[in-house]
Amino acid sequence: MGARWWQTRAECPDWLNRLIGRRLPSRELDGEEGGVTVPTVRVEGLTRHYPRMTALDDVSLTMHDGVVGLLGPNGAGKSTLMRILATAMAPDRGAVTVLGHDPLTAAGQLAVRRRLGYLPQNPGFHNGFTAFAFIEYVALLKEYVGRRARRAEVTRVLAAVGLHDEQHRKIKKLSGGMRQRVGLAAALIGDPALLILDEPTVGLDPQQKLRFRELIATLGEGRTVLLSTHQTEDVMTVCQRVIVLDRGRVRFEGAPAHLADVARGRVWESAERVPDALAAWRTGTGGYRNVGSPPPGAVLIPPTLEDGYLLLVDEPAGIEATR
Amino acid sequence: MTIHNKTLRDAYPGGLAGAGGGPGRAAGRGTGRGRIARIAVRLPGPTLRAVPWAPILAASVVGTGLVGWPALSRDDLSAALLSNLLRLAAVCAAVGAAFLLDDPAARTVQTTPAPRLLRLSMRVAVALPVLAGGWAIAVLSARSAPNGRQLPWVALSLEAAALIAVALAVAAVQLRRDDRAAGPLTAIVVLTAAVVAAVLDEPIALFPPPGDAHWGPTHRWWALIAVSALSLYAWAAHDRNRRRRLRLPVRARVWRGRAG
Amino acid sequence: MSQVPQLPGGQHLRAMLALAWFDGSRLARRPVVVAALLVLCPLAYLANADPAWRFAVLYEADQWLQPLGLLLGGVVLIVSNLAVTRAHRDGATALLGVLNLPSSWRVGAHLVALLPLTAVAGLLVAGHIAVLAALDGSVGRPSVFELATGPAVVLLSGAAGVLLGRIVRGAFVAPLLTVVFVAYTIISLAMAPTSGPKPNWFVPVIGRAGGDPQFGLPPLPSDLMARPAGWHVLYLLGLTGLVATSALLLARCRRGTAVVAAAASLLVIGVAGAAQAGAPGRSDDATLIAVTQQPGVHQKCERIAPVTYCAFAGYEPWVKQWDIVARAVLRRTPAAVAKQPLAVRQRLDAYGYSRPADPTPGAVSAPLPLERWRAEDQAAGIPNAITASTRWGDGWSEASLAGRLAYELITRSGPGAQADECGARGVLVGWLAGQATPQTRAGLHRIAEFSGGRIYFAEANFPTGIGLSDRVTALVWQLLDQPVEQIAARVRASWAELTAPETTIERAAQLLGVPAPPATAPRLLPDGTPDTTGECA
Repeated sequence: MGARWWQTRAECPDWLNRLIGRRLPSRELDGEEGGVTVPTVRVEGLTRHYPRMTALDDVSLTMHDGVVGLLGPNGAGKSTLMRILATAMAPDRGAVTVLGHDPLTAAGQLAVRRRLGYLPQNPGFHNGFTAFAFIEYVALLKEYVGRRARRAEVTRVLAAVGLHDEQHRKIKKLSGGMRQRVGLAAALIGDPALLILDEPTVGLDPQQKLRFRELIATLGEGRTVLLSTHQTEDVMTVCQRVIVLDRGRVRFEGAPAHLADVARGRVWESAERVPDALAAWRTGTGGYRNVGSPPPGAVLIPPTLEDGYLLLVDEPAGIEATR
Repeated sequence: MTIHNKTLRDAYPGGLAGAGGGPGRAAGRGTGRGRIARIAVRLPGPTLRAVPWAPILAASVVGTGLVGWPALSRDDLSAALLSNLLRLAAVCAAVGAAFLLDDPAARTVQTTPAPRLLRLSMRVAVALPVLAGGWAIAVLSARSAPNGRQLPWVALSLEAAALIAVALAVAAVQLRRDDRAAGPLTAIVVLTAAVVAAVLDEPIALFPPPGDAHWGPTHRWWALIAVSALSLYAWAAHDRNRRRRLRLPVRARVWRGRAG
Repeated sequence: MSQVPQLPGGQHLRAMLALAWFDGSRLARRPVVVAALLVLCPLAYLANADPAWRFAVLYEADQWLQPLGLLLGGVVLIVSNLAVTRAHRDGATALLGVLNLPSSWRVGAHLVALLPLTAVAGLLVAGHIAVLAALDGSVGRPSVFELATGPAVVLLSGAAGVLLGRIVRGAFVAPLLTVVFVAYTIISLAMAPTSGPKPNWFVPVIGRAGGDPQFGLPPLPSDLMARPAGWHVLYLLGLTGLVATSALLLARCRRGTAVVAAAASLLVIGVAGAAQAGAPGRSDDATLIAVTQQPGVHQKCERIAPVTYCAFAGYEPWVKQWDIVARAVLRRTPAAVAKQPLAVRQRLDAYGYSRPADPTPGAVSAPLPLERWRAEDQAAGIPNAITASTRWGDGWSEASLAGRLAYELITRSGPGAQADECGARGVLVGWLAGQATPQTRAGLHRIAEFSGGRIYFAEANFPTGIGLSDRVTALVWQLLDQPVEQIAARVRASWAELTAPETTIERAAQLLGVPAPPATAPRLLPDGTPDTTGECA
């Protein structure tokens, strides 16, 4: 208080600091500055258009440590949001801060990429490379110039995803699930502070999915993991927070349990198909499970996360839950 | 993190935490000055294996054969015909170069700290010796023909270099728009440009016969084309996705808590 | 690949046709095809446009669009190849492989999808020749087979693109192959002797049989053209069939029909190839020499008093054009001179067809068969018929005819006149030729531009000609700038003196009322010696 903005290192812009010769203020991730936790990702008013559709429409959210699940139907904008956060795409409008930097500047982009791991949808590889060689290539691009450190890091991430025994097989000879794990290993290089995984469990069998969830849960401690998925079990078992996107807008942001709560009182069972339910399907026991506005006298049953999700993506107005 | 492999468990008794300990630490990483140079020095190895060699080799072989076979098997090719054959070999090289920047792993490595310009240019640098070698053989075969002794090979090499630069620039621009393969479309554009250039007549002819009065000025134009194409390539090959529309930057410190 | 259930043949066919329609419309919508059809082809066409096309010799003109067929063929090769490899490049092969339509039918659809583009090419060619034929100066009839060659090349290129796509998955092969074809074509065209027994028929497109209008060989009379265009088209279609059946066989279609089709194609290729290689490219030497020495055998004569015109069969429409020029020249001569009988006979030097192109300068060309010409003319009752060529409309032909007519009026020397005129005669000849019609005047300018500033009246494509010296040329330009009636009156008044051989250029200038051009220093050749051609004693 009382100090001018140019007299305080943190308030002064970087170029002026450099000019004066001050040491640049370190940008600590999620540190405590004055008792306020800093979010890993902060997005405000993000908008992105494609030629014939709007992928993101005024999206605002924040993410902290832990595993965040991104749920939404196809075309909801999940991949677009992830690509913007992963510095793979620029938005049309809006402010983005990732790990304390602005990824739309050159310096910010570099700083973000140094602490980022990104697994895109349909990752591509150099199929003639062995898994080890490809991950080593990615490690080199992630600035691991020392050979010993690089190889150690490659071994580490391959072991982490369970590909230690296949590391010297060519990628074209690996199955789809193994290739997905190669992509995941590439994202894990450098122990990133922010992991963005776009539909990472595609192509994995149940055992692999289990192992993957274990890995993600462990990684979520002390890091931010953002993963998009269609599978509500992933969200239920691993994610501490859920964001539901539909048609470019955030419909829900909160804990998974609260997502299920959205559907409380709106799920009921019936013996026959009810025409005015929002969604209805035949269950294994022969009855019908309905989601929507229950008729009077209906037998209500406890809702699951999926029910909440279904309600959210079908209603025109979103339901915001408190954190 | 549970380590499933017993061998690994023994190898990493402390667990598979990050080598530097804690998130975001970068030990063993070159992040200081000269990081680009240090990455660049180690990049040719993997790039050599990653480059799509089929188009490059095919283009070199076809181009060399186009010139070499007629030049060495016949005595009656005129200098103008030999220089046109060399130009066709240059177009072949440009078609090969059109596929050079196609990278199936582009999306996977896009978000790494290494500059995109470095990655793409390393591919070019690795493939260029092959293209240059094929061109040299073609020029030597042409000059060994009876009418080819006086062929102006320096100017023709400038034309070839310009064509390759144009192919690279077009491929880079196309990749900026759509990062899947740019090869086929770029090859078509290069061939179309070559056809248009070939049908241009005096005074804007771009492929004059050797000894033509316009030879000098035309090759000044070629030099300009080469430089412009290289500049376009350098612009298009940079990391994209910064500042899509002109906006004022939002200072990061707004989101930080106030210090003190 | 697991057994795909075989639907009844009819359903496969319908599915294939639907797929072909889909592929064909995609093919036609590709920007490069649209650009080629709407931009490149018209540009290339216009770049070679020639006012002589108003008087097109149709059995030559049917070849003009063939190089554009090659251009479109190159484009179609690449886009059809891209269409076939699209599935592989986008990783959809496995998905498409288990669909109900077997891969051989899909390849068939790709092939059938080429037909619309071929039809478009055919329409363009047909439209072009129809427009040329509708003009009233056109001569002869086009050959359907020559016209069909362009579209056949397009179809063959497309089929080759499909086959290539089944053999090699990379998208880079088709562009490289296109470059190879271009190289092969330009080498063949450059190496093809302009004369010589047989041109290389295996090149899909023949270079102009007539050669360059200005310096090359003019068209032969139609009954002497012996081009095996029909065999050539058959050869191309046989190649297309072979390529298409190979593609289908590679896609695992039913063996029996495909092998039979392939064998039939091979047979067609063999027969057509042998036929076109064995057929004489042009008439044999004896016929060509006969045409040069005694062209009257093939000609019909028409008299429009006082000039008789003899033209080859089919060239009758041009008689009217010749008459316009002749009347314009005769208008300015005194009545007595104008009433004397004149004759114009079409001739051409077919020696150029059988004699190899002469590389050494200064070589003596064969002497003109003047005796035979004179004998023939005497027999037909039209002594001293001057020569008209088988080209018209390019400016040169009009000017040459006018000049030779004027020279004949003045000197009565007959065909084969070879002279360098430096005196009044030259001035008169030049002015009479230049004032005839706007085309002859433009033609004089073109001639002068080409031959370094001097006017020269060639005789068809024979080496003889009448040349005017620099000073005469300068005076002619001056005279042409003066009002025509004024000069015409003076010409008629002093006709006798102007046509006398010894009248000098200064005297002519005086008679015609313009200042005499200054005596110029002789021109120097590049090596420094004075250029004495065209200078008379």
